[in-house]
Amino acid sequence: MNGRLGQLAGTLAFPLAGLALIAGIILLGGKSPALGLAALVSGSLGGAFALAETAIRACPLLLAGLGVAVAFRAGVWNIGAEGQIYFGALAVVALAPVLGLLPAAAAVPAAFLVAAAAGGFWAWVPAFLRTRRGVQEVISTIMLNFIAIQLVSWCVHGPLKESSGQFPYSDEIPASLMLPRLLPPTRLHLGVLFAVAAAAVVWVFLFRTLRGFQLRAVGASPEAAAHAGIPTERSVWEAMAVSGALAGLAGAVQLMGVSHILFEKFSPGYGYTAIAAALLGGLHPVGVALASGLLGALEAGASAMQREAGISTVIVYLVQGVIILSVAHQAARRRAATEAIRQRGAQEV
Amino acid sequence: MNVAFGFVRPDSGEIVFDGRRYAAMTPQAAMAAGIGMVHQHFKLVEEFTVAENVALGSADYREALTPSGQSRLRTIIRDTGLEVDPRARVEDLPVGLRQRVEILKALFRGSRLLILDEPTAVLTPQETEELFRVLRRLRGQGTGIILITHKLGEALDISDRVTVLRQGRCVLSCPAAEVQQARIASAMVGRDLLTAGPVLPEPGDEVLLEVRNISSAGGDQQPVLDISFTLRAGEILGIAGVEGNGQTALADILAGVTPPGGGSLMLGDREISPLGVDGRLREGLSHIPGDRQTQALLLEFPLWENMLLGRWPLGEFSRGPLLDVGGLAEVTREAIGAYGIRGATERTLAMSLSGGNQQRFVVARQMGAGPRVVVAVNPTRGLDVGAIEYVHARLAEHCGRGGAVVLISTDLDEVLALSHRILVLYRGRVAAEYPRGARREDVGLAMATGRAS
Amino acid sequence: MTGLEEFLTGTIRLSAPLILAALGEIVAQRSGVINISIEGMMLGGAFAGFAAGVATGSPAAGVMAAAAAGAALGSVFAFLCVVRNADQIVAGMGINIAMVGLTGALFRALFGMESLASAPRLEDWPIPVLSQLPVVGRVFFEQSLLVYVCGALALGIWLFLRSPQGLGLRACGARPEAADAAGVRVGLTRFAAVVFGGTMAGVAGAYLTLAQTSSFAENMTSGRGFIALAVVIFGRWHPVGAVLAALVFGGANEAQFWFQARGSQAVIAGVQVHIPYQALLALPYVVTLAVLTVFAGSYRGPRALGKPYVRSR
Repeated sequence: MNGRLGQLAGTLAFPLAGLALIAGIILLGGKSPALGLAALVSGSLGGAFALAETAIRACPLLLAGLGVAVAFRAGVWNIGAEGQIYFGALAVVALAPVLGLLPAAAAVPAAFLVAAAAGGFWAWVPAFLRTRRGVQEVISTIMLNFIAIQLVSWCVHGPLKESSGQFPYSDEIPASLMLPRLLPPTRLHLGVLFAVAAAAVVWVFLFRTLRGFQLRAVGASPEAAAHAGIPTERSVWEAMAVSGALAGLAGAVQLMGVSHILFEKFSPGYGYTAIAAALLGGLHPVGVALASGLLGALEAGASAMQREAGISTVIVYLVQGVIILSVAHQAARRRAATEAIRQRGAQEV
Repeated sequence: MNVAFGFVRPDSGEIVFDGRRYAAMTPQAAMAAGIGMVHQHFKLVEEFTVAENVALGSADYREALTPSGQSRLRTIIRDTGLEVDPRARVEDLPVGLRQRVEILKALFRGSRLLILDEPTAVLTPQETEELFRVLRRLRGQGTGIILITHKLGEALDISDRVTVLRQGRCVLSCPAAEVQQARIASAMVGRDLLTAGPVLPEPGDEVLLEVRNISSAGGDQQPVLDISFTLRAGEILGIAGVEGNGQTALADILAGVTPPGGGSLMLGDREISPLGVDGRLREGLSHIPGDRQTQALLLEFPLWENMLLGRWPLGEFSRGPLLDVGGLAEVTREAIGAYGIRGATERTLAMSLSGGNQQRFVVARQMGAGPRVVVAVNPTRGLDVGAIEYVHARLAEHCGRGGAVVLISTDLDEVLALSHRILVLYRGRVAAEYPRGARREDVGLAMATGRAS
Repeated sequence: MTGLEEFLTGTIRLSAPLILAALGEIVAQRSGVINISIEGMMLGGAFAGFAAGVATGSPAAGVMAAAAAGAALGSVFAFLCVVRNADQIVAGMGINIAMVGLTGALFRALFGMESLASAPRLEDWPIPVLSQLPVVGRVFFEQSLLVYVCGALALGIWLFLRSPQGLGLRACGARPEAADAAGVRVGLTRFAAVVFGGTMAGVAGAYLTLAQTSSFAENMTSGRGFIALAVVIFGRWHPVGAVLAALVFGGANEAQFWFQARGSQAVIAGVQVHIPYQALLALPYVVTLAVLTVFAGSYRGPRALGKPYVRSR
């Protein structure tokens, strides 16, 4: 399968197959794929309102995705963004009475700190288990996701239940904690700017600081890092702490900017979608931002697609899945090509 | 042997075994024909039992695990004297017994020819004796045995016939009874040096590095058992030896990658054994790792980041919390120019460079840290003649400026050409010491036997 | 039926899909491949079973369709990860997300939103004689066919792993270089193991729509696939261990219904205690974490798990 045509065919195989599948299912339901696509595009990119919706949905994906990217670059498989999002939001709601006493200018940063610390803590547990007990973080982070979800469920049914005691969600957070709207009447909130700023900060951290470089080195080649005197364990700790903090912030931003209350299905899988965003974005802050934008657009456009073309929003997940599989396939092919180059180099005399 | 067993296809020639000709082998065909290989690094599944490992290697698993198959295994164990419990788990067995399992695998498959790759490298003298007892018995039963070894004493002890390969060619082949160790060693290392090597300055009196009784803390390679030496300013100390005698462990201890289990390392008047690679670099000890692609470079990163990899402990490139990218780029460009790495910029990815250029870069980086002592491990492995000369010239230059070099190399030519003194490493200890100009045969003999001549 | 009998019966019913999926995953993982998309494959099987069951009126056809769906998904995953050596975690996630969309969209397209379509039920098959035994009879031997399959399969896989073929498979997961050197076809073995795992996940999904309920809902697996992963680890990659671990999870799930029906109160040592059902739901995960932490060494799993094998020469 060499030669340009063969390469192209290999790259397009998954996306095209996926596209055909999606169009097929839409037709099966008696709807029009063309109409659906139009609705998808207009619902996500057509006009200020649509763009705002896209940005809002991209926001938690970007923050959590940045965290996932940092962890993966250090060679740490943090699948626990979902739980860290929940835990971050939970911490803010739990401390809302205290935080609410502060003036708005101090309350929001304080809440962010709380969420970051909480998310960082939830990521610290698997980091500890990995370095001290050799427990694979893929498994421990998934376990902690479920535990966090149950914890939140219990809280909103119990200690954090709203005042009238009737519904399983928390009281609304105090007004000082709500993120200001940037462009009324759209729902665009300050958190979006914060997320973009976070992307810039993460970029600087990864590519312009020594610690960030060391983290990337450990992830790329632990052996070379060891020979350069870079402590591997410390990088694992740092990566998880940053990763969890960012995911916690994602939860806080979603809470403080959009939902204002904490409830059971607070995160419909944002943590997992964020992993997709990180991978699609090539673990690079700019890429993650673009990928989050794409995934957010898909989710925003999905509701328009449902309204105007009668296509259920759930199909968006199929689109996301096909994209991820295509990227995974492509990455594998690229790795195989690089490996071939390396093998050639090793045989050099 | 890789060709004989089918791991590698030959470009030309053929293999004739048991009266049949083969243009090329595969492991399956080799096993079917009756060739069995016992690898130096065992390919056993540690969680499985002995019987399961033997079954895994047999032509028919089912047969191997049936009562009749198991009884056949026990018969082989009895007849050959390779005593081991089939129900024991491999992970519970010591190395000597694990090797028996490997041999049993081959015999169970009905191998008529056994190829053993450095079998005694991991055995105690006692275990070696037992192995030889088994081999003699097998020979008596009609099994052919090829023993790949660099231990001349053992080779002559057990063999009927001796063959010496050098640089891919057969240079000697005769009955064991007709040849002495000295002649074999001479054939192994060849006759004369390629070049006389660069002119080396005279070493001074100042002791830069003093290593006293260092030993390895553990690990699964040949450990350092007890090594001491001193290194003076202007001196190149060559550490020669056949691969697998402790070079890697020694290099890691000197570089600071692993802490020593015991002993002390004095750099000047400072005890450096508690320091890591970064601390030692700051103190003036720099190292050139043995495997550039996996140990010295981040292949997918650009050269300026690879420069940072080697030089970050010195702090020259930090401006507050941020990196001085401009400064790094500048230094990288200078190194590229100074060391003649053509066609590359600071943004070139490390993997795009040829092996020779990669090594030039690594040497440039490590020397550029301004160390007094350089630990160079196989610094010219895989390089062309021009690159080799260049690296050697830089190391000599370093000594001319008052620095010193510990050269750990499995390339005897290099060690002979470049060292003021030569230590021969054998089984984790210094077996012999030779001055510059020592005879090649003497050093080679010491490398092969562990005894000074 | 006494309370205890009810409890045990319910536990077994809830554990069955976990056992089926975990048994399949054990085979896959012991060959060296980690498949985190059991969740997606279960969902695919659930839908396929439901659709085929409704279309044909036969639950048996439904189970076969579910198995086929699982096998197909397993093949896709195996192609990506065993043939092309793509990252197993990424590919697994992709399939999970894709299946939520695929099954949800197909369900809408074929059955519409107001559909009251009901799948034919996989009835319980009481085993004569054995089901007359006190206590044990009703609990174990009046279950649906798939439950019996669980037991038989656990035994079968246990025997398989001890067999010569099983040896080859285990070697692929422990030391693929050794397996390769011995002539085992590592790629083929792993491919087959993954397809088997997918098939089992599919059948587990069919259990949800044909035996446990008779309907399909979007994303109805609700994380059971991930629980199956925990079952594999908790059960130490051993078929019998997995059955026991699954029963623990099933039991916790059943206990949750139990407590909720009784107002979440319980009497422990004479003191009335309120136990939130979330604690019960979270318990298996906490226990898994605790066990992994304490027994770190023995819960390593197959040594080559998750690492693609490429012959290096």
